[in-house]
Amino acid sequence: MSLHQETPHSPGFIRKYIFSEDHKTIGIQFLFSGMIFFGIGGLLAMLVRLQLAWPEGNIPWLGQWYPKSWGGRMSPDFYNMLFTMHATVMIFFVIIPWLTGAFGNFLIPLMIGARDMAFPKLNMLSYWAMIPAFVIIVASFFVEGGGASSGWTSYPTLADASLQKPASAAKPGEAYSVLKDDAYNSPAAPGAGMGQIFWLTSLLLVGLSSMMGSVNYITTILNMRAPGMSLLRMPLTVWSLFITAILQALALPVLTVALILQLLDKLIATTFFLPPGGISFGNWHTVPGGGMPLLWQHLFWFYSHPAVYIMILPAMGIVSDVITAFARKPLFGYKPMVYSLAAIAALGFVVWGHHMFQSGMDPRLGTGFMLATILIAVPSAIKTFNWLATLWESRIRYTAAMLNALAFVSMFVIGGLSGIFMAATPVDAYFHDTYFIVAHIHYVLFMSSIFGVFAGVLFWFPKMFGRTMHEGLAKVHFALTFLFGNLTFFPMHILGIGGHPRRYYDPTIYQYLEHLQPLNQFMTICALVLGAAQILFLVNFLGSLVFGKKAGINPWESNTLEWTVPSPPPHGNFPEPPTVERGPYEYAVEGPADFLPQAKEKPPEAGA
Amino acid sequence: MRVFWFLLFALVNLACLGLFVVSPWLGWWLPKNIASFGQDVDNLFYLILAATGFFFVVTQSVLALAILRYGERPGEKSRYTHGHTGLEITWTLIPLAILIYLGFAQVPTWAKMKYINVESWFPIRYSGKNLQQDQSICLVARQWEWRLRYPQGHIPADQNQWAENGDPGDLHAVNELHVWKNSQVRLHLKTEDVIHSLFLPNLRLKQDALPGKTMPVVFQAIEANVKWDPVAGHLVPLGPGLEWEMACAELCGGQHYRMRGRLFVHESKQDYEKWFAQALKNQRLRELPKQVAAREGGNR
Ligand code: HEM
Ligand SMILES: [Cu+2]
Ligand SMILES: [Cu+2]
Repeated sequence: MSLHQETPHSPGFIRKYIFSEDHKTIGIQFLFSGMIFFGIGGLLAMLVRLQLAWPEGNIPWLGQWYPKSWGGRMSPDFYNMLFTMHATVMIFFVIIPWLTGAFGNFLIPLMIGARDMAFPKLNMLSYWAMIPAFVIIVASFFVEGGGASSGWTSYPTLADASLQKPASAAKPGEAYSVLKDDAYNSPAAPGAGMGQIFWLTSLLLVGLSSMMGSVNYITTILNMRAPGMSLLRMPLTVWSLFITAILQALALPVLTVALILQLLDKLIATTFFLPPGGISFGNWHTVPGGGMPLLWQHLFWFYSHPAVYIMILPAMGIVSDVITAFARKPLFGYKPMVYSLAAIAALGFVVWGHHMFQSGMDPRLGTGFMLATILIAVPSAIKTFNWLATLWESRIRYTAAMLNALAFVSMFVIGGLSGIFMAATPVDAYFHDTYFIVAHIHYVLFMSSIFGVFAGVLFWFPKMFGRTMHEGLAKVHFALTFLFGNLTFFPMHILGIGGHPRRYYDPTIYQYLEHLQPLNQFMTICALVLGAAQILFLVNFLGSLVFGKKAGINPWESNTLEWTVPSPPPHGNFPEPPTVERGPYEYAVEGPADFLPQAKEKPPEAGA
Repeated sequence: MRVFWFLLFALVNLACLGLFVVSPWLGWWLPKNIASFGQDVDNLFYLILAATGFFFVVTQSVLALAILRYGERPGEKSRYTHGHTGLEITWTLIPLAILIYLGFAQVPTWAKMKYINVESWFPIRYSGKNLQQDQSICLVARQWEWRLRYPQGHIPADQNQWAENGDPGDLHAVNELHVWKNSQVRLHLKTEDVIHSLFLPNLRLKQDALPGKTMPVVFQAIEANVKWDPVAGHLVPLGPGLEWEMACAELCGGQHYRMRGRLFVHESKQDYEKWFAQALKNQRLRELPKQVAAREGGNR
């Protein structure tokens, strides 16, 4: 730390904005690239919805753009590619990078009173590992067979079957075909060929990036807190990012291994996920395998269940900070809030099997996973009650950031409660892989996490760019998103109860689903409005960069350390290292102002 | 504006609640249950619905009320408090108790569905005994159809051996699952290529088919939908709207959505046997058995 004592030199443009080692710039890089992918992922979702509403293909206007070979309607394989890439993009290129990459980078050093991350170079690399991942995932749309189409879960053997020659077809002495001819292609699905290989590679790089980030966050938070910033004085945003980083550091290696194994299956015909008998597609028989398809599911969910918490814990932290700042009231139950975060994270490691109740896993094991999963609802409930108690007898300022944070609380309740249905094994037998789970996913990930992100962006925009976003526009965006988000996603519960399977290109061929089709059309129309409403946010964001009202040091009268330095903060953040005197949520205190910042009052001449 | 935001939160959540109230009346609800354990499953669903519905109403009401009541007022400050241990304990223990109850309440039904005997619901003890059985059917999924095999005499001598290799006398069918009312059916569920998932909404049943494994699936249909008409030589439905379908619930490639099959529950064993005899005769006539048996046999 003492290396940086001299006045910050000003680096050149490239060092400052492109190959930056400054945590703030890196955070903002993650924010911007996330926005681009939010647009891509959103467009994919619109196409998915259009197909679901009008599966016969009589979509005005859009139909003309379909290739001739599809015969006037979207091809089913293309549809599979759409929802696969939609989920992949949203999860791995939007939500995780936004929450951990953007907020994690920007906020951690500022909120704990550090000059930068512990390892600035590693931090820079963590963003630069994303660049090839971006390129590869975008390129994957254009390879032979199209982008990956086996779902974001990429279950073998659909995802990793390959056209490697069977052993019996090899000439004596010839190792059977590896990397030859069309060996990349898959007999299972066009998108399971090169597209899948690109998908795996890209995700490996995302994982690498996240890992570098996690190591950095953990070290920074443990070692670089300002004097007086004890662990139990950290704002919940920092706590949530800290716990998320630990989750990521522990879970990611497992995903990495799984991805590598599947990549090897595809590239050099190993058979980690192929059963001993091999499999056959009509007359095409694969080589005999030496593994099992279920292995992938265990590895994948061992990562991906913690990953769903990676995708919401930081939003919980952000929301806690935003709510206290605009409710002008101390956080209710700081310690329970911290412990429940930790409990969610810890329990999150022993519940992965709830994705596999019907997978062929031993049903007795299912019971254990069920009980663990149901227990996770307890810390989730504790958090909700504490947010509500924070709001009770408070004095709310209805800013756009606050509204988004309130929406988080409201929507997380719905997402959490729907989880309980699917945690119950007998009920899940019916709901598994129906639209019920699609509703659940979107309530926790879109209606909760993304509202958390909106709240965070609106809240910290002034600190990032020295200007505030337009309140009116942000409120219109919020109202539309809240309304149409619910109109789009809530009826999905009903579809699920009706038994509508997920990932269906055309549900109308089933009699028992026919009467649900009007709901599908209604949701699509609402989804289009929902999608369009996001343009308001983009316009507001970009416009405010240039035209936004100039923001002072502490526009929200908030307590945490980042609000004691200029907006945007200089390189090195804190001209004087701060000393922390109290917890982060001292609102509604005695005196002329109703808040007491964490940092020790500076001597008058240094004050600003 | 405060009132506007209150209304937005309150009305949207009210609409969500309302949708759950009107949907059953509009027919947007669980399809008819015909499984012996189905009523148990539905009851568990309603139990969870009641519990979650209660918490939904409470939390959303508190939130909406807070938005309405606690707007900023000049000169007034929020109440200064950092929490309340008693409250924390209360709202930890109450959900915990309810959730633990919900969890254990699932166990007996799960055991019934999954072909295991459970002696009491707490402590959980599975004895793993095989239940009674009237009928064996081999169901092989592949891209993109369900291939069925019915043994003569309903239950083969060595079930596992039969599930693997079949018997030349078997009846073969595609996408048509026949059972009779109240028959205890055991499916041997397999797949040739990728993971599929057998989904019978009316039977509240779902089970993945795993490459390389034979999954046992048990059910008992307690209502019939068809009857064999020996004169006309085809099945007649027992009433309007008694069409029960079979779907694939695990993404399995391009035509995943098209793995539509149908479930025929005959009104009696005799009726099923009449259909079976005729179908077998037709199959012999078409000389199909040799080809299929050759293919199936050669596979494994
Ligand atoms: C009270 C808390 C929760 C419970 C009890 C719960 C339970 C479940 C269960 C049992 C499933 C599997 C359903 C099935 O496949 O049949 C599931 C799926 C899922 N959950 Fe949750 N969940 C909870 C919270 C969350 C949160 C906070 C997130 C994310 C931020 C989340 C994200 C997901 C996702 C993405 C899936 C779907 C994965 C897929 O594509 O199959 N859940 N949840
Ligand atoms: Cu999970
Ligand atoms: Cu399928």
